[in-house]
Amino acid sequence: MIRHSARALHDANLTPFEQNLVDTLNDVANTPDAPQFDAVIIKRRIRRRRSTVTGLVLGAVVIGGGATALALTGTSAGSSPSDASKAGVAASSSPSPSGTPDDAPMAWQDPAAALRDQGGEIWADTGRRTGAAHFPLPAQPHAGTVWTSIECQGSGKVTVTVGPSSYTESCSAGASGTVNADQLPFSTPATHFEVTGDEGVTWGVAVGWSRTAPGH
Amino acid sequence: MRKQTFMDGADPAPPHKRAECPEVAFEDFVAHRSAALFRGAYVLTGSREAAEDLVQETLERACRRWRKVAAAESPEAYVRRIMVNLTNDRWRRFRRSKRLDLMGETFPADEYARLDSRDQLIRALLQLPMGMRTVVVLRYFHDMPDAEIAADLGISATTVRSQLARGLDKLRAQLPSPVRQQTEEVAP
Repeated sequence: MIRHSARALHDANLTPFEQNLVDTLNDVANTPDAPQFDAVIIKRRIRRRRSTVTGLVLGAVVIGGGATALALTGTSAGSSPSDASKAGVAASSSPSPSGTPDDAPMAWQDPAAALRDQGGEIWADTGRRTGAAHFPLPAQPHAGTVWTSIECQGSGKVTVTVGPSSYTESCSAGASGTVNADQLPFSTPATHFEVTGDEGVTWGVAVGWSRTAPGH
Repeated sequence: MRKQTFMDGADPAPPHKRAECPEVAFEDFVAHRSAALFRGAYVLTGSREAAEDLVQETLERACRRWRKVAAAESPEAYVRRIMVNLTNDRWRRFRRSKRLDLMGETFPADEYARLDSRDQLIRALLQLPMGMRTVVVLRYFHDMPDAEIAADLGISATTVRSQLARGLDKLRAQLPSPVRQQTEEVAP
């Protein structure tokens, strides 16, 4: 076993108690054999999330009036396959042609979960839908970062348009999704967003906000 | 208006999709640094299972923002910061599985006395609140200066020093007196 010691030096300024603590921590750290972490598996797990996170940095424009509660009753040409799907029920997908783990059908991931991972406040969650739909956004009360998370399954594309900018995610039946974070700069605050999915593509979009800058 | 990207603040965002992380650099990092990360996680959580979970999640997060990690002055320090913050964020979950794996292991007979002292010290460490424990581990395991600990945890250097002092006091107080005496006797 390779011994690891993050603190190899014996600091002359340490008290005996502190030195004992240092030695103990190093002993304990080397007690178990470290497991093998596989970068390929890690990346595969990320791809399986099939979430696309888009960071949208808003300017310091403060809109009067607080954020309105957002009920997703936007005009929709699409449909919602199942109310239960909002709770993260596994979606059906095409069986894998090769049967390899990479191509295995995936469980549907809640796009809002990716936003919560960023520490964001959820503004909108469309649930699982197909076709095209548009939804209102609350007034942005503060400068900050608006996040858009896309989950999709099925062969085709999903385009999310927020204000003057749009983002297109290529979706596939297999595990080809990615976790991305691109900026879509907006010159004006967005009041709504639109989602258009190709035929055969099921999508879910969540929009959120955080005070902190992306990456923090 | 500020322009930033989530994955790499120094790099203008491409119009659309971006790869999740470069193949070679991330794989190299995982191959060479994950064991050290795991040992730090093990000291922090006291549980092999929790440490594995913590490192796995840390590496996933690092992969998702790899360009920013790779551009950092010290990618390992950056990833360790992710891990430490995850630890504190998710302490409630780890607390449920808190367990000392070393208790189930067997050691040579001549190691018993030393291990007894060691185990009591580690038990005492695991009784510390997670924030305080993190400060102690960063200082005495990762050998980080107060200012660096403060920056990583988003607290003041004064708070770091206070947490360290209180942490050491608590560790001493929780050890039975024979162990305390033993640790004093090893003084040079």
